[in-house]
Amino acid sequence: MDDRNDLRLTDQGDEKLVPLLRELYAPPADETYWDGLETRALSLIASNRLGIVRLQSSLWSVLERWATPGLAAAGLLFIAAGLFLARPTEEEPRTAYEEVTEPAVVEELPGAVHVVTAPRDGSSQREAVFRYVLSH
Amino acid sequence: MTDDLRNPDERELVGFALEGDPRGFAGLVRMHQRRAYTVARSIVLSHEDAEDAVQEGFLRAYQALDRFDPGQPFGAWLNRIVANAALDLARKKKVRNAEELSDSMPSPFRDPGEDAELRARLKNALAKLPERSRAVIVLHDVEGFTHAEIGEMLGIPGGTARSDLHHARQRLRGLLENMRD
Repeated sequence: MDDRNDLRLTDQGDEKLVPLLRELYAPPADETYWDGLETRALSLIASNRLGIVRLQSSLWSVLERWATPGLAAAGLLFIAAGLFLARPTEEEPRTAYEEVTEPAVVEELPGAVHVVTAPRDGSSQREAVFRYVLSH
Repeated sequence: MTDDLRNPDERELVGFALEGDPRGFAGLVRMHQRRAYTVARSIVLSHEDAEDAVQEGFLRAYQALDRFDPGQPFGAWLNRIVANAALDLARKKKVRNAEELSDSMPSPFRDPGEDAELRARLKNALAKLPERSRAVIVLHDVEGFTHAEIGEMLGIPGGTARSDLHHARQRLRGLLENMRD
């Protein structure tokens, strides 16, 4: 039991303990061990790199598979968006035209001249003039 | 660059590795694996865990290579990464029983030799130390690293490494004394 006292450390390190620690923590002396470790480390890196490449290529293949339907859907969306945006631009001049051509609602006074404006159903201005003449 | 990289300069290898030449990093692995093993082994409790930490450390270093400053020594940068990998591994395995770990410390490359009982008690005491305390003792007393170097590896100031060493020795001494009783 007395030998256990020898394991006590001094502040400078124990002269019996340090050699024991060195023995305990000695790296493998066999050169083939290091060749093996080097191979394993590089294989791990290579497999990791391959894994990343595979992941990237599989992502690309998925994207490629979806490319045609994706383009078609995008085209349809583009057309739909175009139609949607075109609608208000057609309505706007028509509304502006109506504002000018539509008669203002005024109370009809006796003796007031009845003004007939050109109808909006596509008949010509000449017809409107003709109806005006007939009505007076 | 020739196929055979004999006696290459570390900076040259770093340059090749940064250019994406796999022989550059392979040369760095060959050059630094022993020291990397020593660093990892000082932190984890078994030879197998040290191997795992070294491989993980090299993988992390490879992945972070674009962040390495070629003006700095590659070995110091790598040792820090390996130490981190070893600390991560040690934390993961902390749940395991210290007795179990000390029993499972295989040493196929060591002469079982004399004084097996002393060695066994020392293993038990070391297994009971926190990983940082164990690391500073081994890195300083066995491997001869300075406090500043140990601090750099473990991500602590050199002064902290010095005081850690003092407390770690006290703790180890206490553990060994307890084993006498």
